[in-house]
Amino acid sequence: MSRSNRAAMLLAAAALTLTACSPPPPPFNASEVSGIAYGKDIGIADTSGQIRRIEDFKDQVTLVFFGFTRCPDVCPSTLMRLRQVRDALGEDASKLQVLLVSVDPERDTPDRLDAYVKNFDPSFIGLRPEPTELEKVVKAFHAIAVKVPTADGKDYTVDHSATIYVYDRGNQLRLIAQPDIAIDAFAADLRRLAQES
Amino acid sequence: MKSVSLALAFALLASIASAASPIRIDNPWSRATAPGQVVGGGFMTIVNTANTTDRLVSAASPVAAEVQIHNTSMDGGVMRMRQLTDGLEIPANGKVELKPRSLHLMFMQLKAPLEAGASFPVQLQFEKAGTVTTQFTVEQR
Repeated sequence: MSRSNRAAMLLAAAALTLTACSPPPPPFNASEVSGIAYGKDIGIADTSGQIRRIEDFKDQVTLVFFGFTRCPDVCPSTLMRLRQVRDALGEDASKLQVLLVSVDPERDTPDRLDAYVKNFDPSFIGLRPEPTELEKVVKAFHAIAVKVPTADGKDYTVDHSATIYVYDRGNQLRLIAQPDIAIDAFAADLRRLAQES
Repeated sequence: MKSVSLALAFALLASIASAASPIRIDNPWSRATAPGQVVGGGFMTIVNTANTTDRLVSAASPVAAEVQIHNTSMDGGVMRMRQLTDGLEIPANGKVELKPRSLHLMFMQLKAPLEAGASFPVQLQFEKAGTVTTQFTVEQR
């Protein structure tokens, strides 16, 4: 065996050892998904009337979730946590875009929806499907939004999916998070996605 | 000076009232709301020091046209919110925590946004203990 061949074999063996020994990347804290096209090609108007698609947020880690301004509990909790997650990202915060899709476009006027999301963070964007389009939008995310009359019958509330859809910088759906995910754990996931090349 | 003595008198009255009542309210708070937002959530821990169960049957506050008792549940990733029309049972020598993503008061048709740092009174009506008035503080959290 020539000297150079031997060197090459040693190198190959070293490479193999390295591959075998390097641990797989740790799992994300949120649920990982791949090859799922939820929300793809769906355009929804923002509060200024401009149609937005996930694919428009190039190079951004984009979070999408459903809510409405008459939701006093889960939606503000989620928005507040996402604000804290964004703060925890530090320099990577500029690579994060939060989108709240209204499940109550009839009562969530553009102004009301805009004030609601911006009350938590000025970078957050509210999306408001036309009432006739809501069902299509919700289906595109395989989500649920159901109007339910209140006990007195005079009003209604909206049962809706509370999961958070996370798209990477290439606009691929990568993670599905529950709204009670720990802030540090979620920030760690999003930092990884923000720093992916 | 006058307002100070009034506040003192009020505090004294409040402490006398609470000393007599078997119901204690811990950490009542409400989340700050955005302009145009017409509902707000209220959270607290209700402690019942009596040897009998009690029931929170209704609530009222000058900040809202109506105050309802709600429960939020998560079911397979879906958030459901329901009004508790029969009120909320507070066990004897026990407590019930109203907290985000769970039981809460819902302030309906807010008359003005709830601003962080402000506080407002809420009257809680209990089946046995009667009326308990507590001061909610508005927090941005």
